[in-house]
Amino acid sequence: MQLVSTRFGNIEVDDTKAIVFRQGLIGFPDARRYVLLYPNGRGKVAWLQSLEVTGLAFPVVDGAMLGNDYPQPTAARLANEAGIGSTDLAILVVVAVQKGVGLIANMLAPLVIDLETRSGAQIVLDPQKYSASAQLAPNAYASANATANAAQ
Amino acid sequence: MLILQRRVGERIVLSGGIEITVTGITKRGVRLAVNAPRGVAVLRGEVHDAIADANGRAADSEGDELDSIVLPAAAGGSL
Repeated sequence: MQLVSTRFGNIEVDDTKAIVFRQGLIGFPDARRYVLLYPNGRGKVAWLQSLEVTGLAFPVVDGAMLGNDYPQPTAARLANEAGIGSTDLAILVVVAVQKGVGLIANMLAPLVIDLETRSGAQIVLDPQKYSASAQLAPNAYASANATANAAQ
Repeated sequence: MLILQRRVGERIVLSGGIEITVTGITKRGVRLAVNAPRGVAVLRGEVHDAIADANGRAADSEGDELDSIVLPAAAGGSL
């Protein structure tokens, strides 16, 4: 289908690959169907683009980059409680750039997606352990701008 | 807004199979037991708001800044 995304313009998306968040994301209950876009290829931040609210897209990274034990073992249990199967579970983390800080990640509330049914939920981990705006260690990723500046 | 007075042991029943029971009242606060079906999230208000704010800030991100970030290979994604 054709989608006119505010952020990415007129794009062709495969809506058979839509991921359904039955409860939406927290704070965004009315946007339930998304597609995952890699406008800059793999190895860059991906975007979860809403199919219903064309102006809404969340930048996400694979939870695997946040450490081997993140956010296991609770993710599978919380996914089940949220009504998501956990046999083939993908974990995405919503990120943002904060000026002067760098990449921050919502480690408190990752997105779990059952790859078999393509249904997802935003689960909430222990607030004593994880922050909704966790600063990522600078060595966890690289900024192409920073590298370019350093090379000059 | 509906405001109700409840005593310890008394319940409030919401549609969708959600029940809230007052289990204790002390100087420090009110203890509530929440019963909700699978798939219904139950969150403390301030936790909900912190996550909603983080989601909102992420959705408002400047694309250019995020595009400059190079992720490790593990972050390639399986979707």
